[in-house]
Amino acid sequence: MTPLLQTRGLVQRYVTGKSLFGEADTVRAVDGIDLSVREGEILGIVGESGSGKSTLGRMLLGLEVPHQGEVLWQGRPMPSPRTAAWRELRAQMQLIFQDPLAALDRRMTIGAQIAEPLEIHDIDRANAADRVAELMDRVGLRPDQARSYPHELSGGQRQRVVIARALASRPRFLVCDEPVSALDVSIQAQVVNLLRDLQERDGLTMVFISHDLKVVRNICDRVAVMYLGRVVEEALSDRIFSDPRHPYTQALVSSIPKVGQGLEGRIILPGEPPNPACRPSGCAFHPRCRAAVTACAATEPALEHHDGRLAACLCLSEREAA
Amino acid sequence: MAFVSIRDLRVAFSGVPVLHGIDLDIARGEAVGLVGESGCGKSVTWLAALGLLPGKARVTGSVTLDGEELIGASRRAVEKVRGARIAMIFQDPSSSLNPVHRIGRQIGESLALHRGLRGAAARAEAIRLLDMVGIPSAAKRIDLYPHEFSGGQCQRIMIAMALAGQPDLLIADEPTTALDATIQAQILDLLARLRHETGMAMVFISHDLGAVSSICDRATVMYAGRIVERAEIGALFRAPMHPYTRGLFDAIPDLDAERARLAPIEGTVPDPKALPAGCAFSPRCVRANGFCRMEEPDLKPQPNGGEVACFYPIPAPQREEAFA
Repeated sequence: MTPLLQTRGLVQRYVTGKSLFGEADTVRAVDGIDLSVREGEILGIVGESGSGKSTLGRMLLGLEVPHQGEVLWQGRPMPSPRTAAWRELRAQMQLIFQDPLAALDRRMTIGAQIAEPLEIHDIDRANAADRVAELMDRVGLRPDQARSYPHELSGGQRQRVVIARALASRPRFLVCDEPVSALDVSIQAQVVNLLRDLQERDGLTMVFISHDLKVVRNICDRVAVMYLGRVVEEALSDRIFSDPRHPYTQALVSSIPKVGQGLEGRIILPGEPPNPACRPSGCAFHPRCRAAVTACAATEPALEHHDGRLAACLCLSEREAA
Repeated sequence: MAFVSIRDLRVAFSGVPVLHGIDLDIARGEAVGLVGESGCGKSVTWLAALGLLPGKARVTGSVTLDGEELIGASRRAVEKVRGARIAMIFQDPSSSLNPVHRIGRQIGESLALHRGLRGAAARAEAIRLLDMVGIPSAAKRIDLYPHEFSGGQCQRIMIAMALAGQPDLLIADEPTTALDATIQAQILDLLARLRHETGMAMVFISHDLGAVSSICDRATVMYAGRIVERAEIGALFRAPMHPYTRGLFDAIPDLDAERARLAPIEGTVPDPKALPAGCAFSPRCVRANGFCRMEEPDLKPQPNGGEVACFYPIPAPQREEAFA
């Protein structure tokens, strides 16, 4: 079966620090990503700031043109941005951001904002009011709230508005970029449940980008862990959290503070995530890795199958060869 | 006698009460967690205690430090305490540092103000502090600007500045919230180590129950400007008694359990301008009845040594069952 969405060797680079004389630096924010998202599945993208996860999300939607590689939608290349074919496709794929207040227009009522995509994509224009009511009901907003303005709603309700608006064009695919990070714990659970309903009831396919590993573990079927623009481990959600194999994933999973556990037994990584502009040689993680050997500084590990998962680590490959 | 003692602390912004009488004691050297959602008053409590709220805030009640009253004290008296005896660090380190001054100068300012150190002595002490909070090659990097450090390192620099006055109490307001997971782990570790080394007390304000449980001795849970429950960490996390505390625990996805639907607390935090009658949590509470919507529960001592403000706290047998 063709995956709904697929990326092949996706690379994005930005040019920074351009000065009159010196060489301009190029930063490879995303550095060769092959992923596929099956219909109806939620794929989690996990990583620290600067790992390239948001850039990847934007390229999946065609909001950014990749420097190299391609994004395939149902096996066919994505049309170039701002063309008619791209606009048509964009109705089927939507983006949900972290900060709902920034994503909403403060001077428009909630109802008008949810109706806006219907106008843009020319869908159901005759029944717009009914459709807005239906969408609001689906995300758990009261009908009378259609006349409210964003500042009159709470953070959780605003995020529901953003989700309702994203659903207006009947998309098949959503990219959720840190959708619950700005919300309080009790509200976070409400929104996570809503997204789960959308997957279960309507078969929506999602890419869920987050640094909150507990939420990712709960909602995602499959998870890809990114480090400095590359995927270092990819596996089913249950497997990757119960038995992480890449040393970076292991440190990430162990860093989650668990209720009633204290600070013992955690892997504390030394140093900071490196600057993408000066990527370490070989395996980019080796300067912080507790399992690193000499070869790690020289050889770039490939993403390979290991025991029911994909992982990019020389030590894993060697252990299996031995 | 407690080192810091807060009694009936109330705060109102433009006539709207947001803090409804907080009682809190901090002993020397202990670490207390302050837990709750945005707007519950956990930060306001300490901003009020240290006189850091804007002029439109009306603060009443009492905050004493070793018996010395801070509320209504002269500006000079409060400034002697702030930074020197009680220091505070915030969520977003990059907005707390001055971008146009070198970090050494910013730490030096604290050292001059609180300890009278200047020149070479101040510089040596600043390097020692940076070293202590884990900034590599501190002697070289002391002359860099904040933007030359990462977010995690800026938080370390903030902690170094807070330590400059050798405080007896450090208020850490969501110190790890803006940081990445692996850096969060480093900072929690650092705070625990510093507390151990310096013997200072710590108030750890956070909405992250896991982080609170890993470094605090006891915790206080706040909702809508009131304390609803407090207990030793172990007791609180094994068997929360207030339905709100229990709801907070249930809302967090469990790493080891089935990937099931989460159990959110329905509804939202009330608007301080329109607080519900009776218990402020009653509209969202599954255990509430008509009485809860009329009367306000007081914080009452419990057999487990903690205190709970609830007419119908979750009884022990049910709690054991839930945790079995």
